[in-house]
Amino acid sequence: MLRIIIILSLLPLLVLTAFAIESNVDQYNEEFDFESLLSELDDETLSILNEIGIEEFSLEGLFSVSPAKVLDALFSVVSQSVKAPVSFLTTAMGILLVTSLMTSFLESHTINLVGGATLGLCTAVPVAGVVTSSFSVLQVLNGFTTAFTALFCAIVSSMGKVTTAITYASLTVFSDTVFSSLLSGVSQPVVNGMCALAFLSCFDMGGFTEKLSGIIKKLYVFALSFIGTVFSGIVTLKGVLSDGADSLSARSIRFVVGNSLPVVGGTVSETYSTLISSLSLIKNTVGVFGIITVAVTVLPTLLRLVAWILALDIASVFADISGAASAFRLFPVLKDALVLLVATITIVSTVFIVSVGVVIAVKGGSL
Amino acid sequence: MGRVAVVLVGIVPEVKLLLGALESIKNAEGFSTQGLSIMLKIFSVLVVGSVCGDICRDNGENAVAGVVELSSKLTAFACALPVMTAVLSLAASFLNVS
Repeated sequence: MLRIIIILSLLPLLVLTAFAIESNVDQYNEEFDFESLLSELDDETLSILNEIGIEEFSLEGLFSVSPAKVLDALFSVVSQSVKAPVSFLTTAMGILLVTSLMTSFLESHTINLVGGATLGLCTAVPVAGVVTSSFSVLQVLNGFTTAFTALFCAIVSSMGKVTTAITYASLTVFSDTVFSSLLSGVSQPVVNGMCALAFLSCFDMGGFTEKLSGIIKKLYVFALSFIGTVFSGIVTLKGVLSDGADSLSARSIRFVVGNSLPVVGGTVSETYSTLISSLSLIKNTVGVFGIITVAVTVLPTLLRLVAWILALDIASVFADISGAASAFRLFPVLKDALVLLVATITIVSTVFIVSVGVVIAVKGGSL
Repeated sequence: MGRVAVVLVGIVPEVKLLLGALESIKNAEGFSTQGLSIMLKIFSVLVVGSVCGDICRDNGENAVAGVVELSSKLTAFACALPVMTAVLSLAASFLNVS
């Protein structure tokens, strides 16, 4: 009886201090400085993000995005994008109508030439604006991806995936360098050259400009697609391999901690797994935010370019019907220049989305 | 030549109607008024040259008719020069930007 009383009185001394850490994902905002990402974006992207419900960087913000808000934002972007092309189409049809009327009275090459040149002058200003804004969007994208890479790698390496972080950082920096060199050294000269070629096709060059622009377009799109495919493949393969290496190291840590620490080894090991999983949530949140931001950044420009391509196609049909030969050559060449821009923006944003998607798809902790 | 003058006077109302329609197109928003004005000028010069050439041929002056038509084409081309040089400088500016 006395022994039982002594054991029961000593029992309260054998206590383990246990506590729960309150983990609020949004507290990591201050540590990782997520708001600095938003400063890299332009006003149009920020306003679209606000419209779809992402007013600040937070998990609640991402979950508050609803299909209705996205559709509303999409509709407003589309309606803004089609205004200038529709106005151009009205102008072009008027000039083509006048040219056709005059040539029906009096067959004259000079009237045709002047009609085409007038159309070229009307088209030049809005198209130049679209081309300039497309290149500035690509520069904004470059700045954002650079800032995003640094932040994302810090998060990925803090969850123990050091190999994945280094792989992602090296490949992203390499791709940023390659694409920015391509943009300034190849894309910009080629697109501007094709615009110049389009305006020169107002003068009768026997279809030479159309053939040349077709060849340039095929070569450029093929080269860009090849680079994008190769890079995406390398990122995917390296991501899978580095995930394997990181998983092995994480399991090793768990095994060593679980077996070497007496009594509390199992608890510490489980705590480590929980910490990795919570950091995985942050990684996925940041990754999804990056993907959404890139998509929102390029969407208005892509819609504007597509609207212009459609308008130039329709104008080309009208030029063919009205018999305005010089205008008929101007529009396809201009369209090819805008198609190159669409291809460039699509490849650059797709490569970024694929590389972030690979890192997100890698299982958090793989434990 | 008298018959030509009578026919020309007869179609003046239709020409006025056509010019009015062209003027309304020209004044519509977003149109390049300079380009359309130049096209109207060229059209008028070529029409006048063509009519004068035909009148000269009717009177047996084929050489004069040829010279009149040639001069009307050269005048039309001279009217078109500002638009052509504007397009060439536009193309050059795109190449300079790159």
